[in-house]
Amino acid sequence: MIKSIVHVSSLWLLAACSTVTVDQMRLTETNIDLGSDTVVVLGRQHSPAYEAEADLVTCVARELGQGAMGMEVIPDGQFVDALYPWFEPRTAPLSLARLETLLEQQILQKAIDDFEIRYIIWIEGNTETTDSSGGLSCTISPAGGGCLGLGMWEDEATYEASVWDFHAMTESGRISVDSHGTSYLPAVIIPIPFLARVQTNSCKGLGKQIQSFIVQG
Amino acid sequence: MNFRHSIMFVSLAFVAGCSSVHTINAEFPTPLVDPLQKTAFLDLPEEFTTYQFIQDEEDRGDITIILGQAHKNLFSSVVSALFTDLSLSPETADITLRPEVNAFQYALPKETGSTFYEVWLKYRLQATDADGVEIADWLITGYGRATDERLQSEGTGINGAAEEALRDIGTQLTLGFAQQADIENWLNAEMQQ
Repeated sequence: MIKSIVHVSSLWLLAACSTVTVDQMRLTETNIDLGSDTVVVLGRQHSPAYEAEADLVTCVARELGQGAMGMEVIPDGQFVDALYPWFEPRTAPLSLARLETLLEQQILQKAIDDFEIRYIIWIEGNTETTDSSGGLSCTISPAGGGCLGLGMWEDEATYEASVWDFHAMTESGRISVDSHGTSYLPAVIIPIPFLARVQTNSCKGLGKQIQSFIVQG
Repeated sequence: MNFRHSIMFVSLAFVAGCSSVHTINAEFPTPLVDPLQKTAFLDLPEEFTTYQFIQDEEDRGDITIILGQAHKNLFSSVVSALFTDLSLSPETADITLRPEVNAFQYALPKETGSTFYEVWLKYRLQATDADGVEIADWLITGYGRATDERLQSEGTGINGAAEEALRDIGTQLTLGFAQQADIENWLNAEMQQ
């Protein structure tokens, strides 16, 4: 019996995985001095349809700072506050031409120069639940309680990162990630979730690819 | 504890469970902008600095949102960056700014079917010169939203959206102040004197 339960659990664990596809489009060569240059990762916020979750943006920034190719990443909150109100949802530049126009103001150019920014990475996209099925019912009585059933849902994540070279004032390239996975919540007395970590896997895939894109030129 | 006390305790617990109080305690960064070469006085009346949005609706529940300190912080921060000097009285200032809350609205994800908490704020900003003559009367509307995260409380969502709406007000005030036709006319007239 125990062997059967372990076997069934293993199947669920296998089923609750996600697939990640990363694509890259290079427009110009990249070059970073890991000893002095910095980067900043910002989420697009001009429209709810493109707004990346704050924790996804933080996660990608963390990934960029890790490993042998780790680079110094300016926290997005620190950058946006220092440049307030020029990188707010209403005012953040949507194009390099607009950024160049903003930088005609000396006060703004100096504030960005102080951060020694080499690349600005814009992230847009989101993770959403596209389908759900099954059912779960739970009861509580004076004699005790418990749940019975099986719930499942599918998550899909789509994100795109645009890498702006702040020195050359060009777009270096774009990296996109698509991920999907099915999560299960079986319950026999106690619900045991088997979650597909769609957003986390998207973050890791995107972070590693951006890091390699910038460092390996 | 007798029966009457028990009833009172249960009633209080019930009332507490149906109402919520959220205090927006946000601090705001100083705007990065070249200041106008003028002295300003920021007139913040008591009803502004102690402002609370109080809602008592059957279908939405009781909610109190304490906004006074947060918008006091915002206007102080923005006005101190917009002008070279701040005055302690209207008589010694080139311009006096007096904000008031015109409207506060919010929407919950369960009401809109979206994944966001949303807040709309509208302020009226009156500007007068050193003689008390009106220079401008400006309505500013700000919007903020905060993502509905898993296991996040309603209070955290509303606070996040309100803070974003206040930042939006600060953005418009900072970048739009000198562009307002009445303010622009006043600045031009001052330059010619």
